[in-house]
Amino acid sequence: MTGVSALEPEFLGDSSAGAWVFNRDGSPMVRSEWWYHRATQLWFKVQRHTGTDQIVGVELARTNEESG
Amino acid sequence: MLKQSPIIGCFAHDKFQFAGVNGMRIATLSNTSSYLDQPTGDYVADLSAIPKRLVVGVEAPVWLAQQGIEAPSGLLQYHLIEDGTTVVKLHHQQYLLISGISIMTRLPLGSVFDLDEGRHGNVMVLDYECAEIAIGGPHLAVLLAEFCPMDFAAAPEGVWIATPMAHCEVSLQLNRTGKPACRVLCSPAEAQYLFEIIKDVIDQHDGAVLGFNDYVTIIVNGGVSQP
Amino acid sequence: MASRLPPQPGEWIDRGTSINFSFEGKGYRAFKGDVITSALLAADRLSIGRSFKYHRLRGVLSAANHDANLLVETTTRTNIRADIEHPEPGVSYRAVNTFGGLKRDAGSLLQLFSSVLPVGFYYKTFYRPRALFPIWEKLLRRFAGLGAVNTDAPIRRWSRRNRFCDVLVIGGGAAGLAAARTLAGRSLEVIVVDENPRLGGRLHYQGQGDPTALSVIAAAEESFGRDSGIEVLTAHFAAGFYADNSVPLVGPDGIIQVQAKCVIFATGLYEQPAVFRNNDLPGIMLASGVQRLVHRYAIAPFDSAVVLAGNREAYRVTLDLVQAGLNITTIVDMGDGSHGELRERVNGHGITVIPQATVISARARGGRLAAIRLRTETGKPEITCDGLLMSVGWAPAAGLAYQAGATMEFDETIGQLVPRELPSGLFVAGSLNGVFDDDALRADGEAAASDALKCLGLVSPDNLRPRRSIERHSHPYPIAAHSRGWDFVDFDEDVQVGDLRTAWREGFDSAELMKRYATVGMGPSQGKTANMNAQRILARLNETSVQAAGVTTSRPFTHPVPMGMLAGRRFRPRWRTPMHACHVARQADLMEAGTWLRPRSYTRKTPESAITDEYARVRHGVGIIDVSTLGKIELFGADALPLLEYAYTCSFTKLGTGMTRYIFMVDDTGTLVDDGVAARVSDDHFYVTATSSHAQAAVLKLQLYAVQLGLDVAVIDRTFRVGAINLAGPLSAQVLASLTGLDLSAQAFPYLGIRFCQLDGTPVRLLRVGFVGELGYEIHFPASYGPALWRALLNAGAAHDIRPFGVDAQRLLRLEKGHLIVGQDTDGTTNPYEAGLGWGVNLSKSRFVGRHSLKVLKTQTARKLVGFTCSEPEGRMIEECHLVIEGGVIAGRVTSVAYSPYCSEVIGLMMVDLALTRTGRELKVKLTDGGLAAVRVAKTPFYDPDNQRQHLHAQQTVNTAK
Repeated sequence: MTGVSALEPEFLGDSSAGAWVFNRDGSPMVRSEWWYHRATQLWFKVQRHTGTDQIVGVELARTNEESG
Repeated sequence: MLKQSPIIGCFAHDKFQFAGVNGMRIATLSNTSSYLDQPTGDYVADLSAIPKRLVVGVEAPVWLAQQGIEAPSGLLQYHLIEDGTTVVKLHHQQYLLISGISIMTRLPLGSVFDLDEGRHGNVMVLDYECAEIAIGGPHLAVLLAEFCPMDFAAAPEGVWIATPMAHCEVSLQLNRTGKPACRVLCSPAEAQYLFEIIKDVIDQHDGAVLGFNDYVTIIVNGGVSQP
Repeated sequence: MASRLPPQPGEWIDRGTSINFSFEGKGYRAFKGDVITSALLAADRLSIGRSFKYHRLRGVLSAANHDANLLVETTTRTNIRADIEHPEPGVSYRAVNTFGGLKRDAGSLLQLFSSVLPVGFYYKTFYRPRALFPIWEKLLRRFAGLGAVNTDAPIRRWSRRNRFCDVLVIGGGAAGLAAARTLAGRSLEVIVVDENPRLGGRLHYQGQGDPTALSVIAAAEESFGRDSGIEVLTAHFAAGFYADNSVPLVGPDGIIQVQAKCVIFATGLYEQPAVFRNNDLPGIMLASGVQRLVHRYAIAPFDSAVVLAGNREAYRVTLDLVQAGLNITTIVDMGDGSHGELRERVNGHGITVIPQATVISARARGGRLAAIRLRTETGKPEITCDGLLMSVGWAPAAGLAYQAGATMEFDETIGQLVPRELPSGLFVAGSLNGVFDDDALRADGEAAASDALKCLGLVSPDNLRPRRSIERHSHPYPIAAHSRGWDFVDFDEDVQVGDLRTAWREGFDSAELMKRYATVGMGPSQGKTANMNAQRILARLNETSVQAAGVTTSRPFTHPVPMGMLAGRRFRPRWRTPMHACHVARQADLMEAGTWLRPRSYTRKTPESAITDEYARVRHGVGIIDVSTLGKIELFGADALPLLEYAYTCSFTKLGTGMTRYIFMVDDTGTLVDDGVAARVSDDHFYVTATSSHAQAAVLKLQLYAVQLGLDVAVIDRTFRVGAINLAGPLSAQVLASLTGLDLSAQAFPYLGIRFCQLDGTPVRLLRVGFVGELGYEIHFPASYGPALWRALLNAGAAHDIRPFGVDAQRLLRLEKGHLIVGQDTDGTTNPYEAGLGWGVNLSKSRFVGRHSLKVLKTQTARKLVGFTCSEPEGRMIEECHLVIEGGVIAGRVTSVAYSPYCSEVIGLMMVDLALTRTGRELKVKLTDGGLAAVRVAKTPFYDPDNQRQHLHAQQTVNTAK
């Protein structure tokens, strides 16, 4: 599952909020995405080229407990 | 009896005997199956009465160590401790304990499986309610291929397998040594649907549906090593 | 006339076993191993089908289902491929797409109207004249489609197995078998799949009875097996190519879903027909089709035949068939006929060769070919014959390779598209790769296998790829368009050359446009014997090269796949609550709510009175409802509170220990997505509920935020593992008191509190909530205790006449309180301010999901969710989603509506423009029949506006007995 929100950045002025929510650059390139594995309920950070659909990198997302 | 197996409704009243195992009412013995006389075919059995607990919290490994239980270090790793209990690191700060079958009816005092749900020290201990279904037999690989899209040959040792099965999310433990067998954990809500599918496929291979005690007898006879 | 030949070496039939079946009402006998087509031909039955559009008689073309001329059906199955299917004993088959049987198909009259049914005619019926379209629509629906579906046919669950392997070799011909041999004995899992019942492909039927060819095949059939690691799957075809090298193999018993590390495409070529007037008559066949009939099934499909030669293969085929005992009188050579030794041998058999000639038309008698007319250097002679073999060229069977991402280029030397580039892990071998002679095919297969081995990281010698053929195998333009038509390019769709010209003239001049306008390549054979000629015609019309004319996108499936096979075992999960068996035992009216099964009500009377009974029980006595479908999430850890503050809109600072509060969640556009209740058990332990439909999403979002923010918190999903029952009604506290020693007084257990205790021995959490507007307790418990607890509550409440109530009654109860349901009273655009929930948004919180959008939306509220009442009789006809009309325009919509026993009138909620929301304002709602109902805006709650009923009163004695 992709396309879930990234953390909202701090906005300068209200107008940029709408642009951030509704206008995203979709040009094909390697993008970072959040992927959810339903069977284990774990989130992963995935680098995928959105043009060729090739997975370039996968990393388990960690909580505070494991970041050490 | 206050508890009952999530799939007790899948066992016909005239074909099975029912009793309480660890406080849960469950099908224990098949009245009709000749499986035990000749344990060579495929079978499916209800193991939901096996006690399970979830130990939660950032201090869980420390707390478990104090109970004499070594916690796995990495996510989705698991191991067995001497009394047959399985310990899995299921999620961030969450550890699943599955009681060994041989000790479950005579749990030692102060066992984790005896604790009430709630806070204990600086961890939380929760009931892990689920249905547990055992599947085994010579056609296990073919049976699983009918409803599970996973390449089991590629699954490494010591890793807890979580995969879709007939569009449900399940966990499973594969028996790596000895006869082909596995144990499937699924949520109580999906259990009846999943069991009917497994039963359907087992029927096509002329397999047997067994009760909890039937299954214990099989492993006591050495057919399947635990888990 | 067609007949059975004496035994042929390597034939696929077993003459010792017979099978009786019937076709179009007549009985036929087949040998075991025969297909329907060959069994019918053995009895000289040449016409087996009727075409789609003009219902012209059709016969064998490819004898391998590379065309879709011959589809038959039985009473239980349809669209059966007669070239492939073995006839079953005692079964009656008939042709598809006929009106009154094959022989007297009334649809053949359509041929008389062909001039008013040009290409694209049915698009035009959509436009003018509009009045006639309903008539056209009925006609078109009647004539479209092929087989008929018998909706009473027994349901069959098909196997759909998963399978993994190292190498998948698609195609068991010369190259495929060579590749497999190279991969044998290497401890690899290899699958060789072939769509025919036996291995061999062209190696078998073009071998000229060559014993070495047959022995290669026999060796493969013997040696491949478990020990060599090679699994052979015949009678299975690779239906498509999907991500991660996933290829479904469709066979007679179901689908095997294969995922391979490497794939070798050895799928070969499709022979192409020539285009001329009446080229679809029974008796006109592809040369390879005849070879299949002769060598597989020992069928001679004609008495005397002519060969139309566009390549050198034609001569070899001629010699092969003559050797098998068939009578070929003439070769019509589209070239100069100089083929050296082959030409001499042909002449030696007494066969005339007419060079620089081509066939321009064919004539039928009695529904089959009787004569052909040629155009030669000198004139237009006619030749009598009942068989015409077309050997004019080939097109690659590259569908799967295209789907896998291969690019192809047109090789002018061979006259064929050949692969240029493939993604890694994928390889081609054999004639698909432009390699033709036997040694080269074998070498190409071995080389492809070597490449695959290297790709798997195994050591393998460098096998050189053989050079591609340097001979022309396909005639550049085997098309003789005829002014009077019936010169078919696509047999499936009855597309003629004139149709393509018309399409081009009307502006559909690219491959993709022409395909869709003329429907060329859109039939069941997906253009296997049509697309190449269409591409040639388009190139000529556009005056470009064949390469530039382009191909259309190749898509699954390679051959038609029955829907039942795709459904497989029909997995359709149904989630059951812990008390499901109790509801079934009470004969509850169960409904599907998402994936859940929930009781709508417990009475079998007419719906409204059933709901009213259950409703009344809760308002005046006590009832229980199974609410186990709610999402339930446990949060434990030092950062549990920060996670909640980030995920939800409200502030939690005032939430005390042992208390709950109503919460809701928005997405980053500020749209309401979920609501529920949060309970503070302790400073590091919270228990949260969510709506049934958003439960899984709520869990994954909380887990996502936990990792995104790097929080120290465990998020535990308990939705399926914890059951919940809502005990509601003025007598609910008395029922509870008999089951627990917990102090239930208002001081000890206030409204919105949460308590932990035991009910009759079951460990539970109690939440005092007010969704239905009465004194009530939501009881949460571990799932396996559910049925016992349900029974205990019913027993404890028996003295108070407790009854279970269902979802319908619950919805009425909450509507009287004006409580909204997220997803019903809100939609994908509703924000909290519109829903009257602005009080639950705390913008002074520095950071939470949706904050930035909500800040903007707060100032832009243009509509509002309000209550309404209707005392008119038409009010009973108001339904959800009926529109509010004001001044002739849409001003809002009804989101919930029901007849309220308490108010004795229809009540509901509606989302309307802000200007219309003054209490008492009259509005109009448009009903289904177009009439208007008058409603009035009303304040909510409709029932108990001071919320007194939710509180514990003195008369509801709470004793701590038991």
